[in-house]
Amino acid sequence: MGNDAAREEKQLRKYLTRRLLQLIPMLLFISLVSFALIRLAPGDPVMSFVTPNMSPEDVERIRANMGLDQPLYQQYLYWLQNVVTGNFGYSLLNQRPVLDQIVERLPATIGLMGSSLALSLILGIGLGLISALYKNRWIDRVLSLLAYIGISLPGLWLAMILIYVFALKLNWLPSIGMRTIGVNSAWDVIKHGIMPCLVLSVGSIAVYMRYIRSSTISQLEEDYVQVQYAYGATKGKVLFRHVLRNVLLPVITILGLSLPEVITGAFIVESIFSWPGMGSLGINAVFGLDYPMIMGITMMSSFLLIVGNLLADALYGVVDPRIKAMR
Amino acid sequence: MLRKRISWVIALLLVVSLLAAACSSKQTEPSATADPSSATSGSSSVQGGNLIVAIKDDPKTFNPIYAGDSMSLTLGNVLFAPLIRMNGDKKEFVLAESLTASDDLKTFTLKLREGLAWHDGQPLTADDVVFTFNSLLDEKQHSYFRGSFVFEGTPMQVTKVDESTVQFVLSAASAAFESSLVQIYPIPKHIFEGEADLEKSEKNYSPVGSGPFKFKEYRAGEYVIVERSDTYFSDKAKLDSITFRIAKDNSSAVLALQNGELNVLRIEPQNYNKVKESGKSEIALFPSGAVTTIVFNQNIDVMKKQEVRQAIVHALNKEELIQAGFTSTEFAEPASSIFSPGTLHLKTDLKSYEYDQNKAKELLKAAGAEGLKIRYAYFNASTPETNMALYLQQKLQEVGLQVELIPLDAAALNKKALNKDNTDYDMSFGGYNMGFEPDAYKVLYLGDAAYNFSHYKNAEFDQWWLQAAVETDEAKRAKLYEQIQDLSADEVTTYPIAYGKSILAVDKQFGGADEAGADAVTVFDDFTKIYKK
Amino acid sequence: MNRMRWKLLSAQLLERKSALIALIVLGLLGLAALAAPFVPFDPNKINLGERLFPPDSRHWLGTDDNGRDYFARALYGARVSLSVGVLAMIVSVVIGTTVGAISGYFGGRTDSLIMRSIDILMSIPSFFLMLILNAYLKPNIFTIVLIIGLLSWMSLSRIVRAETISVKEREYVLHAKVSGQSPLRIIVRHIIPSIVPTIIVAATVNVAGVIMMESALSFLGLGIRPPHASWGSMLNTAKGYIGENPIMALVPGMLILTTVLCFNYLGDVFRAAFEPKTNRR
Repeated sequence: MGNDAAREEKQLRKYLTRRLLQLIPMLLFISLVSFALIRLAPGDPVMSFVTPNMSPEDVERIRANMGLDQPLYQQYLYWLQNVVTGNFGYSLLNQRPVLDQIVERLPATIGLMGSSLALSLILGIGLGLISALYKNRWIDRVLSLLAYIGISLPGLWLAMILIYVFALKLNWLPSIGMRTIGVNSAWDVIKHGIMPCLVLSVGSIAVYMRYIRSSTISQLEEDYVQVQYAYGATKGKVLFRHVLRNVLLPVITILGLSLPEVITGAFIVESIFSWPGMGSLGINAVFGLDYPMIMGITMMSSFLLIVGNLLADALYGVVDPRIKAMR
Repeated sequence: MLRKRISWVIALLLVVSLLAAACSSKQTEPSATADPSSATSGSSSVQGGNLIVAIKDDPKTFNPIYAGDSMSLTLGNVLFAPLIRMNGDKKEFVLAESLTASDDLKTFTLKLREGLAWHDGQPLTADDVVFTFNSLLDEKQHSYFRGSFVFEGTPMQVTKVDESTVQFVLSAASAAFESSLVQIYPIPKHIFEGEADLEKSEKNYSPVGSGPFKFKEYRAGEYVIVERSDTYFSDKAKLDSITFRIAKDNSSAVLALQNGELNVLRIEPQNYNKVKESGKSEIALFPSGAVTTIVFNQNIDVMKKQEVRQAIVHALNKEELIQAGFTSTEFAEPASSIFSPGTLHLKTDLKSYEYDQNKAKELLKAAGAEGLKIRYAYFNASTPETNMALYLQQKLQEVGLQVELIPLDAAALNKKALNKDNTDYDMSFGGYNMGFEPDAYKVLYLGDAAYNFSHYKNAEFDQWWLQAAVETDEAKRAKLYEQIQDLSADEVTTYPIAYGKSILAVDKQFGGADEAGADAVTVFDDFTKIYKK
Repeated sequence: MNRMRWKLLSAQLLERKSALIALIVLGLLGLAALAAPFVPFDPNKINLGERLFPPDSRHWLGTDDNGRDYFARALYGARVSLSVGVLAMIVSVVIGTTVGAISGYFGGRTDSLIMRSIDILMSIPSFFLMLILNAYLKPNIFTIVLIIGLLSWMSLSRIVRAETISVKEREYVLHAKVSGQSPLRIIVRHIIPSIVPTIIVAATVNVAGVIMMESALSFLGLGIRPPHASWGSMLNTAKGYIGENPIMALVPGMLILTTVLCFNYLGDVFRAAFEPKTNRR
């Protein structure tokens, strides 16, 4: 018995190491593909800096300053060289280091997306369990309907309605930004974050809720549960002692997959609420053809996706060694 | 067991993420002065208060010699002081005390005031002015203003005469030198001397200026706070501080204005009624100096025919066009000249094209251009342009022309527009805000100029522009500009539609907007005049 | 897909009234879209004197910021949104099924490579891809269909792949393999027919996502071009008028919500119908 477990652990470790090693070539490949795609797309970022007074030489000087006069492959190598030393270059739009700006915006985005994730999980799991326990009763039906509405609601629309009701008509909540000027309290930030968080969470809550519900229901019909019933356990006990674990495990996979979303943020929500996160940084970058910034954000998002997947797989294997982590 | 663990993790996630957002965000150079919100609230004192001004996006730079976008220019105007300022057509000396020109308009002498100082206490002298201009002209520093001070290929010479006098020597006469000077806000030599790349320099993150406000805090994506500088040489500001708040989405910004989260906001015509009704703000409506035009691409053969252009213009009802784009003629005046109102030597009685569909059809027939297909490009994020394009499409259809609309995003449109051989579209909108000096417009109308979107080339026309630039006789200059305007109206390769107005909403809690002088680019010319009631 | 499954499906649909309602609603929307030309107003006719009217007997849904009849625009918008939805879904399904089936059937290195490539694609932020693709393609409705289709096939391919893996071990497939049929033939004639139910379920849900993505594209300025409207572009324009004329925002929002809801619900119904095991709700 012990030997088996040890052997499986070794297999898991080998698998994980292999996946980690795959990370580097994958990232490299992604950077190449992204670079090519972005640079080959038509558009010229220098043009957004041209003012009427400039002569063609002035424009060329700006281009050279941005490093855009070099042949493409050289630009890529130069970028790669810098990245390896941790330098992601300077934004073409405001001349500040890309990495600094990304790091600056991270807390706002992580805060928003993190709370949205947490809210989705808490409400999603909670409501899903309730739905499953009271299957087909009125509360289940109501929650199900709400769930369908939740996943079908256009985010933009919900945002507009919320702003209209809570900010304009009722004046309970602020409508833009992350904080009130001059106020430095956490509660202030939370107040600003309520509406964006809600808009982001509605869809996920619904998704988790339905998933948990169907998963719980099917688990409750499994043999091992029936055995527990035979021993006289109540539905509730069975739920929390045995079923929950099996129901929640797959959630980990979903979580892992939603990691890049956490970072790139929901650009629509961030734009409407003027939330200073990665989403708006990304949009500005793409519209302004800010190549270094685009590369920076893409690399980070890719890195997180791969790591997220890896974590999900690893957690899956670790938490329940019965499940083969091998594909 | 697992359940407990998971619920702990979730709770932790929630708390940590919110705390992370609340307590973080890299601040740049917070200074140790009073918290602006602690200013007197609601009392009738004239001193004090914090004004929250909405800006569309983060400023691209805090260094005025690289400021091109309106956010950077707005902040530059508050943190730094210019040498001279033009208020409409009134000249106002700021850092400079006087500017004298030689008779041949090639040598200019600038005298600075005494006792000027930077925010860090260092004196502002001729050294700083010389340093600023030399950096500007330095090719390695690629400043955006270099082109304004290069005359016939030679950069001008800047020399220090004494501690408060600077001399500019140009290689060619320039009647418009003063207006170029207006754009320049000196930067401190003692801070920037020795920096390899002024644009990327870290010194830009804690700007030291000479303006009525000094830099306090910048939170990327959120706001910039500036506070009153008590060492400003002229009237000190009444406000304690100004917060420039980033509000990207226009509709949310209007709501924020009504909520009191913003005090000053530039609003679009469609929001005018709503904001007025709410009664919370005073609305200032003023000419922005912008000219909106329709541009006919002369790289396209059929557009070269004058009858075709004139026909198209006759097919449009200018008032209705303005209504479509700007909601009503209240927000934009019908235009006739390519120069904006307030420009020197503006001519008002020019050839006009009345709305006449029959005439349009006649001209098209004469030119053999009936049933012509036209590709019309415009900026997709601009509501006025979108609506005007739609109106145009409908109106031209009524005279038998097929219009294909091509909405483009800023980068794409810019690229095509600046491409001298562009044949991707036949017509487009143009818009510019060049100020009061007619010479500034030549970058839009000279045959080979970068911004000549219509690509209209006429050697004689060019000659008039170039001559007027160096003409020392004011009367002769005036005549040249009148000729220019007449020819433009006749050729109509660029058809002026409207003189736009800026609509600025200012919370009623704040006064002094009139003296401050609302400006289309920098919000107010002089923020020192604003006070909290 | 055998007859028994069809029977089960129709029985399910008839039994569950809500499913029937969803089908009817979608049918009505489709019909309304087809009936658009019957509305007496030109959806694109600008009428500056009649801006932002509330609903009345002439203009059932009032007018928009350019004086255009909103009811007509809503119906013509239905045409655009629904057809983009269906067409993009087809693109998604075709690509997703092909990739997923190949990946699942061949396994090994091919599978690994394809799966990693999908990971790579999914790791690039969606709006980047949208904007970049848009820069390469000519702006028209087919571009929109293509962009959305190209961005939404990935999850479908994963599902197809999983199903393929389980199906490929079945006896008739092994039988076909042994009898020397080419992989292409096997995939097309044996595997895909077996997973049609899964594809139908995934496709139905895919339409929902596609319609939502269409409004995101409009938000970025990449959607349908004026003067034509789609529900997404109408929603975006309405954003600026929410204080003055909330109907402008309400109408396209409700239409999107209803449509997407019906598709999602039907997807679930199909899933329940095709998997007798989870049939007991």
